[in-house]
Amino acid sequence: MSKRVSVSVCQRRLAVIWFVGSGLILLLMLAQTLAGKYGGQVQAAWSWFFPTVLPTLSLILGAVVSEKQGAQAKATVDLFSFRISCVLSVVYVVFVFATLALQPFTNMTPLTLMNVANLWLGPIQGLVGIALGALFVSRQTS
Amino acid sequence: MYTSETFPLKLPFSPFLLLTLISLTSTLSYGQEQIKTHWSFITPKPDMEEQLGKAYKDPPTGIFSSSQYIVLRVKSGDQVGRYAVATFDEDKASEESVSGYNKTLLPLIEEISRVVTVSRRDISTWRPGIGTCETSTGSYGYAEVVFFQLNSGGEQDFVFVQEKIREAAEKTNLPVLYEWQQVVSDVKSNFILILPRNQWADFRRLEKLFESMLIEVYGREDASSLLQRLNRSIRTRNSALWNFWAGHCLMRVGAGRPSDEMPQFPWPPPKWTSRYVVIEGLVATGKYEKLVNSFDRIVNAFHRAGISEWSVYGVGGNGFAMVSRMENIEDDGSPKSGSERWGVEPIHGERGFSLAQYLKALFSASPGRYRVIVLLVTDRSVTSGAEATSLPQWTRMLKEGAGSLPGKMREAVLPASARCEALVYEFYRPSEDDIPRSVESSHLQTVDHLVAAGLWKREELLP
Repeated sequence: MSKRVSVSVCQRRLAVIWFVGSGLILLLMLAQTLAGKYGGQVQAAWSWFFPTVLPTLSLILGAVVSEKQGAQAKATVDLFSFRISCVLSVVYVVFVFATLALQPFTNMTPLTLMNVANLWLGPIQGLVGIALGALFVSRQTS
Repeated sequence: MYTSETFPLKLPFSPFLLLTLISLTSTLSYGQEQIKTHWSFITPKPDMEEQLGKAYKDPPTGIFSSSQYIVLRVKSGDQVGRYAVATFDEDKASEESVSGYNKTLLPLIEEISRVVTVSRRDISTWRPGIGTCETSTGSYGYAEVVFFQLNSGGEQDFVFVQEKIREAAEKTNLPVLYEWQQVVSDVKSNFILILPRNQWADFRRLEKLFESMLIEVYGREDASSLLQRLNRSIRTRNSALWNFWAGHCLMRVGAGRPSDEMPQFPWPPPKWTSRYVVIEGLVATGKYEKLVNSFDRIVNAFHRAGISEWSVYGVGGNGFAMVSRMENIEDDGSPKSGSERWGVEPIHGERGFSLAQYLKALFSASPGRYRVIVLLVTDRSVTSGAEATSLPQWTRMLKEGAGSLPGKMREAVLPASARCEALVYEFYRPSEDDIPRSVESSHLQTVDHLVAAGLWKREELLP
């Protein structure tokens, strides 16, 4: 039988990864916006940011809220699925952050790089979604 | 050159031939000796002037497609209200010339005969040996035309003195264009002098008078003798001002029209950010210089500023515009260093890495400020167009213009009223992702731009 981990523990850890990561990205975007980094293209920049993190963030948040309301403390999920989800989440959040942080090292403009980054962020975001789905499917109550 | 003091104009005026002159000035290749102009003088019937204009502006398809003609209006004298229509024939044989006239002018006159009264027809021939022969290089809206009727047997003296006048004009480099025509369809000896002008303001007293020019070259005694000989040969003389009826003429090249050799600068000029009229002497001297002199001064200024790429456009036939390559500038107007000066896109990674630079690049935008300088040399009134321009337009302008003035324009004389106007087109983009937009009102003055670009020193521009 595979090893299992408490749902509340894994939700907390995933929430930390996503909220801390998204928070840092949000702060960076805010600082850049206020400093005028995006000039007249502020709306376009934020239009890239929100679809990039909000869907997964909403999923995590929804799961956490419903778990609290259900108070099923003894529910568990598959440890391997949890680890995969964590790794993919970290990779995704780091890639999103890197899109912003590494732009000065490229010859692309911020918006151009955002559009280009969608080439790899999209698939990774899909994988994160699949991993999270598998994680919640593996849920069992003892 | 021919002032009223020199040539009192008191005799009866029979001006029709004069029109011919203006026409010839425009079209003809001056390398040929026997260029004939066929002309008709017409008077619009009452309230028919509008129809006349329409007839010329929209000639029936096919009739005039292979012909050239110009229309001129009499603007002064007792013939005001008349028009002259001239066609040109470069054939040497008079038979062919008549044939050309029959093919061209007759159907034209026939076409408009319902709205006009034709009062006279004539043929004249250009006399290159006694004029400066350069009027074809200009786009002249007006001309002072002086008609001379000679005494019997006076032609030899008249032509002799005119040749002397021309020699003197060449020796003193008299910056006046003029041309002589001889009427060949008249038994009497009639000559016509054309003095082209760009605008009414040019009809002013010339700095160097005709008589003083002759005295300078031949001495007082010989000059007086020449003038006496000239006056003896002339029976009557009269003058009038003629206006080229632009827009109602069909010409391949010609007076009032820009040279085909030169792409023309858009007119009125596109909406600029700022403008400065460069003081007299720096580019245009107001001393009837050749265009090439002003052109060379601007080229020198461009070289001083490190601008090695530009385009030249014609402004009519006796003015020009020089468009500098777009440059990337700092907020103070000074050009960016190195290759950054000439590109729109910022160059990354040339200066190595430092944390401060990285943080600056991470949080701040990379705005761009760009400038195109246009130096206009013209005597036209320079007023701004309504449409703003874009950087791609100026990039295209740089490629589509000429690199230098064509031969004829180089030798053309710049009117005394001409000046140089510097137009600055400034563009700004707040970030790398923005499109550079035309700056409506710059925080820099035009002089600041010209000085920062390195074209001239401030004390040269603001003495």
